[in-house]
Amino acid sequence: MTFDRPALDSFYQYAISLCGAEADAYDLLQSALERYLRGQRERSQQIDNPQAYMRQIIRNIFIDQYRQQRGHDSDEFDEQIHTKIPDISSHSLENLVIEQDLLEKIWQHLNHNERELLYLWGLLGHTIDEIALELQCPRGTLLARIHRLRKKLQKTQTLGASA
Amino acid sequence: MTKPLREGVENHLNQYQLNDDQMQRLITMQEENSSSKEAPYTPSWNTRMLQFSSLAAALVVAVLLAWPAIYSLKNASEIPRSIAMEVAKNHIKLKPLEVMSPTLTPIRRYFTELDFSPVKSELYERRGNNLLGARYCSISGVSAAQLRYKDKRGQFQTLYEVGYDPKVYGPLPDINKGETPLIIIARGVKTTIWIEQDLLMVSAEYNEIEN
Repeated sequence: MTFDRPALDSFYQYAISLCGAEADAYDLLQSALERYLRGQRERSQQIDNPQAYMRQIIRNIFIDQYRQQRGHDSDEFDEQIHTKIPDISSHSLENLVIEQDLLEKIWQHLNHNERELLYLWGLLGHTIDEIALELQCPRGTLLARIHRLRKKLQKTQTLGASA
Repeated sequence: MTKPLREGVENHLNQYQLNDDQMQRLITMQEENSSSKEAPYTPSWNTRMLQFSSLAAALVVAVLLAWPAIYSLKNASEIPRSIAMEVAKNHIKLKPLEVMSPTLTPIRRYFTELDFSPVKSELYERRGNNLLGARYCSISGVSAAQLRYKDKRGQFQTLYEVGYDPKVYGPLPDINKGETPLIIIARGVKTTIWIEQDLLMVSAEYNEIEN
């Protein structure tokens, strides 16, 4: 199984969503592909979903290399317990509209969890359940993350409109 | 101009594309991988470390398992020297005889505590020495017979006899198999070691000094 150009570009975009920087993203993608190919040589069984598997490798390497260097993001701490989850659903993001310029500006200020969520939801069209399954993350945690992301986007829009 | 967030995210991420050089490198990586299925597997650093650790652990286990054999082999090469040193020391001390007799029969009767019977050594008898008597002694902690002789020069010589156990003394030359006795000089004493009639025999005499 080899990945075509669109798939490689998609992985690159995923790596950018995690790293936030293009140079780091390419290194991450290259390392992940090396690991994938090495695993392919050693494996006898076929992988059911190679693209999801590749994203998992990218994510694992990112967590190993980058996140440890930069320290863990504090927003992961018990967010499911300590964050009130009022009126959110998977449709919370669907109804949101935003100016493209504003999104470009705010993108770098989002943390890697939020960027990853937007990549999986916005670019790959995953539902919340699919994202939860792929990230092995509780659904409640993802909904809390969406809630926080929505608030952040709305606040930025408000500030942008008033400026 | 506002647009749905999903569309905005798509637009934002789609502006990031691998350049031709980057794309080509990744494609080449995959092509090389698929065309070299038989290529030698290059393990990762972690895999190499794991393999190295496993090898080191296996080596340690192998050495531990083989240690008794190595130890006994090392000891086996040191045993003749150790016997020679012990015999030479006893020979120098010349402790009093416990039984005096010019013939072997009374001496045989005296040694009731040994698990072997002292014999007349064919090899030693060739020297034509005169038997004086005997006493108990030990070689490597095993009870032995110490027979004292006087040679033609008037010098004392000692012949030690003890039951031969290969596990205790290791391999030694057996003259009944045509092997040549081992000669070791220890503490200025010439010792000759051999196996004869299933007994370990060691003779000790002062080394001849040419004037």
